[in-house]
Amino acid sequence: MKEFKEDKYQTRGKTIQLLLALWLSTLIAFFFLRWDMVYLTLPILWLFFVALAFFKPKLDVEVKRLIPHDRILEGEIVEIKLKIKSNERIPSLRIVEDLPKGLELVEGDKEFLISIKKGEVRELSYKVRIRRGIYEFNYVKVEYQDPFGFFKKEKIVELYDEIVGVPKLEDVVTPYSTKGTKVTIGTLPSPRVGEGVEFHAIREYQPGDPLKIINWKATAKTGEIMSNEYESERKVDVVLIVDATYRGKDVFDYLIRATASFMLDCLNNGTSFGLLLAEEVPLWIRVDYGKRHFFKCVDFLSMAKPDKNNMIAYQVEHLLKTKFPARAQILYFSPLITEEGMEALKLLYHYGYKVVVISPNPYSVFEPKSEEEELALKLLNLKRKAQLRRLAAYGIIIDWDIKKPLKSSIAEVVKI
Amino acid sequence: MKLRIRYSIFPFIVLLSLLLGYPKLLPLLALGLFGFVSYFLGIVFLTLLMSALIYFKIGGLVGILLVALALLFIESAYLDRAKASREHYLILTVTVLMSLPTYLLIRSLAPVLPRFEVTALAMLIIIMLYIFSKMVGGE
Repeated sequence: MKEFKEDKYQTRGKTIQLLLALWLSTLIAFFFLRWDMVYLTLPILWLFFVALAFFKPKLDVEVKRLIPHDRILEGEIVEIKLKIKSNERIPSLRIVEDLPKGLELVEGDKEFLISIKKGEVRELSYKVRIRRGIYEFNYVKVEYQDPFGFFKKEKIVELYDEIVGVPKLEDVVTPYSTKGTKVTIGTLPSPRVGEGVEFHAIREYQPGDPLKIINWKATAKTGEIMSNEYESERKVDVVLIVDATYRGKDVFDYLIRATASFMLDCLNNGTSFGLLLAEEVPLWIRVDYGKRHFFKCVDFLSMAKPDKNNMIAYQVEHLLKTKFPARAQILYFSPLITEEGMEALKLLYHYGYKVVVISPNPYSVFEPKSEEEELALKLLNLKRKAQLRRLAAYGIIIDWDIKKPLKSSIAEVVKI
Repeated sequence: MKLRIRYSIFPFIVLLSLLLGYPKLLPLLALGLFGFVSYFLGIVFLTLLMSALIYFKIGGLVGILLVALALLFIESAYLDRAKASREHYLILTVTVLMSLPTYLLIRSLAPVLPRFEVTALAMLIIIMLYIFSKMVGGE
């Protein structure tokens, strides 16, 4: 906790108004030549006297913010607590929380007015609904005002906290083969480096085969020395590309959820993965393994926003020439709503990459309110279907109606 | 302007019951109702009430009590809107009602010291203004 700004006493608007009332009454008393009746202002004078004489604290308070986790799934409701400890008696302490924009307040308030004794600790709380993104709390403003609200003194207590609203995860199945050319290491499904452990076939013994792969049963049966053959456990590299076009902003959250879900799927499969966020300024996270890499990518996904990007094809072309691993599996997340987005898919195909496209249908978010709207949506959906059919030559396209689970949309296209 | 009524209704009811005895002042209460929603309108009501009391020569303990109740009403309406704690209402009530014994004290001393109440008040006003201007300008 660090204080960085302290204000002087400030007079509030209501003080001026009451002083005006005091002066006007005094003037009226003199105007009507009933100046002795000026004693009617006694209640106002008492009020000012007490406010000035008895309520003037130094604002010696300590503030702590308690947030249950720093990464929270979007849509969840979180209780945020403010712990206030005062080192003096403050009869009227106003606390204003620096609630970041985008967090939806669902219970309580971001402002509190309390009365606190010396040494007392008070816990104040409010609840917010988290949306995808990064939310920064920078300070808490504590403000003293006398019980009547005539004068105030404020202090800003620097108190930094951060919440990352991570995308919700969908249930998915792997729509591609994870077998590839890369030897994996670490706590992954393939514990052996090199030849793998998954049984594939029996063949004749060849000089140089280790003794432990000799299949003794088959040897006894055939009379010749037979060896087991194992399938290689080499894995494929996965590159996830997110088309962050602003024209797909209605389904952008779904796009990001799908990306995060497939990233988790990669983590579980033990495949290495990289991420390209094709915003106006593209963000490339190189292919890597593991949980730390996963969380790094998720943090970037949490911050992703739809952007006026019409350069995705150029960005993809540049990166696939320089950064994408050869024979990588591409997962392309795009509403396939812009020419550039479609062009990027064609480029990936032409450079020989296997592509699976997860395309949330941008029209599936709308509920038609009239017959005309229904007809218009039908036409748009037909146009989209025709377009996707044309693009099917370039990769596996999963057309995701966001009203359905992603898993079932994958199952409609890919045999699991 | 937001409407939030908690304790301000009590001084208002007492004020209403007292003003029933003064039909000339009753119309002012219509304006007083706005004190529930706006402090400024409450102040306008208080100023008009004090002017009327001076004009109709309604002074003494009753006059002070009427002003105290009107002030208590507009201030507690302000506290209602600020969601203040009960302690603040208590401090407010005690402070405002302190004007009654002060008046009685001045009144009882008045026969001994000629025109004491006005002198005392003038002095109080000057001291209060001095402290106020020092606080606002000096600190």
